[in-house]
Amino acid sequence: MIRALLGVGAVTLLALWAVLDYYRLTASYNRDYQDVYRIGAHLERWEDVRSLAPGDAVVGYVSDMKHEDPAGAAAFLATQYALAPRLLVYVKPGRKVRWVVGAFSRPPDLEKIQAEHGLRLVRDFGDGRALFETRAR
Amino acid sequence: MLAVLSILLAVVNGWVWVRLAWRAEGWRPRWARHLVEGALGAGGGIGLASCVFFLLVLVGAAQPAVVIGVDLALMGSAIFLWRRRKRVPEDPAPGEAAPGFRWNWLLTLFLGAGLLLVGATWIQTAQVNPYGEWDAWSIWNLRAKFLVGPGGAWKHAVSPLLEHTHPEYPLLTSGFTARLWKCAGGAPDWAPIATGLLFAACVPALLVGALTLLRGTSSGLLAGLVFLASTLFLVQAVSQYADVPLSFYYLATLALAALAVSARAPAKPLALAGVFASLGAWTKNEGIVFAALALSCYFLLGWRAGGLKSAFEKWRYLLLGATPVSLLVAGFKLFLSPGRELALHQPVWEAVRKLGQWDRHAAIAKALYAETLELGLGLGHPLVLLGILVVTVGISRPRDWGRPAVLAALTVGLTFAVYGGVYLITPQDLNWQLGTSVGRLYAQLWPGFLWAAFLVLKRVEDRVAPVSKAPLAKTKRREGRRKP
Repeated sequence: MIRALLGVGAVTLLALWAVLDYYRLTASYNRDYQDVYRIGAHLERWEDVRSLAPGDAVVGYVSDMKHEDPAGAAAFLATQYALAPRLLVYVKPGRKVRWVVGAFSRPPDLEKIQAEHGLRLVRDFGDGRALFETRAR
Repeated sequence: MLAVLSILLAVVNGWVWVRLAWRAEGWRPRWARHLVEGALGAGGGIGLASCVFFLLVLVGAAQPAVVIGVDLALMGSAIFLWRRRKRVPEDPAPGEAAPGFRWNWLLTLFLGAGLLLVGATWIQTAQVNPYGEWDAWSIWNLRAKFLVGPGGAWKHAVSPLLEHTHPEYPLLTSGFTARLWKCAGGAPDWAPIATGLLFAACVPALLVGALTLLRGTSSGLLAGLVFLASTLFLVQAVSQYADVPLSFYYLATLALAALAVSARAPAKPLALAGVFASLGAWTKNEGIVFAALALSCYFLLGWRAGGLKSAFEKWRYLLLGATPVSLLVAGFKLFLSPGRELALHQPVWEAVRKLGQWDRHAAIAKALYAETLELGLGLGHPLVLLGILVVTVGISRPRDWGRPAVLAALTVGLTFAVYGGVYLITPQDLNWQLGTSVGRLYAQLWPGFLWAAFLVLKRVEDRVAPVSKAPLAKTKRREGRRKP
């Protein structure tokens, strides 16, 4: 009987201690890391493009960042979330989309990008973002 | 405002249907019964609302007025059936006569304090990280945005062009978030947060409530305390992923199958267990595996205990309950998102070859071990706490384990084995897949594991002097003194 009482007491105290530890660690993490992937910033950043392309459009994506790199994947997926319900797809040969957005980590050579993908610049937002339209062939 | 109403309607709807299916008035203590009904109602209501919303999206009728109208119609039909229900005798109350553990009030106090602290931590985390973790905004909430989009935007949620997300994943959480966003007329951050927190709250409520009904108050409260020490699960609760909702549906299936054993009319609770198993299948692909295993295990255990006819007698209710949502899942998999399962993206011989690669076995074992350590923190690790209870309170003899305990252990164990098998043959980079998913898989199975563990642990009430014996003993002593 004593053994069971001691066991229950120990479990109760250790569980509460674990909760306090969880609270302490989480509070410390939350102080240092807020909106880690900066989704809020992405939502604001792409607001003007959202007003240009229709809500159910399939929108192309060009970037100087590779999807294989974590930063490239994060940039693509965060842009995808910010532009949804528009569907974001990488621009590929044979893939037809009217609107194409560009997200760049360095100042882009927009002329080259337009020539390479058959695009026409609609707007250069000047902060590593651009909106293109596919040139009619 | 309409979005808040739509949450309330979903939860109340679920509660009404659960009350209709599970005649639990006789179960004691009452607070545990209310906890179980509330948790099942909330989780079931969210699942039902998600399915209905997806069907409305498919037929192009997902407008706020229609959503609310369907809710009211469902509630009306439940109330109609409630009024027409047959008066059957109430279920017996297994816990009623059992004397309680005298320190339950202290366990309740500690559990309450812990829950408050955990709740505060969840809310604080949701405030500073309102978009959740990676998969929340790249998969689940993204697809909710598609479902709520104009015109044919919903098709993007299952589009093969959705290359870097998972168009083949089922849509329960995305569907419910989309429903809230549709009713809100925008995409407020609080909708997926509220959905996640509701499920996160339902898990301990169901665990504590159902164990209290079946094994006594101290078992329920101790399970709640061990749950509180499960840091890995607590972290997942605010990630806005589908793993915590899935863990709830796993637990609900096992709990209802167990409660049906003591029910005088087990057909409805069993059908309800089937519904919850199928809602798990509508939550994540892993839920399909769990539902198939839970149904198979239930049938096999019934067959072993009472023969084929008797097994089928009860199993058919489970199957019947699981059928409607399973049909929705099957339709989704066959017609909307066919053949996109990752494990299928390789030749069979390649998968077979991987089964014999021992370095893969070793990598999986290493990751599982590392994640087991991550389940909790230091001495407060939940496995340490379970170990303490095993040593001090004890485990029942295997022959005394009831069918619910065997069903839970078998289903959870086999599901875990299937997860391990999928790791073995995955066409993805194994280390990457292990690193990004083992914790979530543990979170899915953890409440079911705790459920099984507390069903086989002895009751504290049986090991120490119960509260009701103390006054009785004092009275007897007083009576004894009065005698000449």
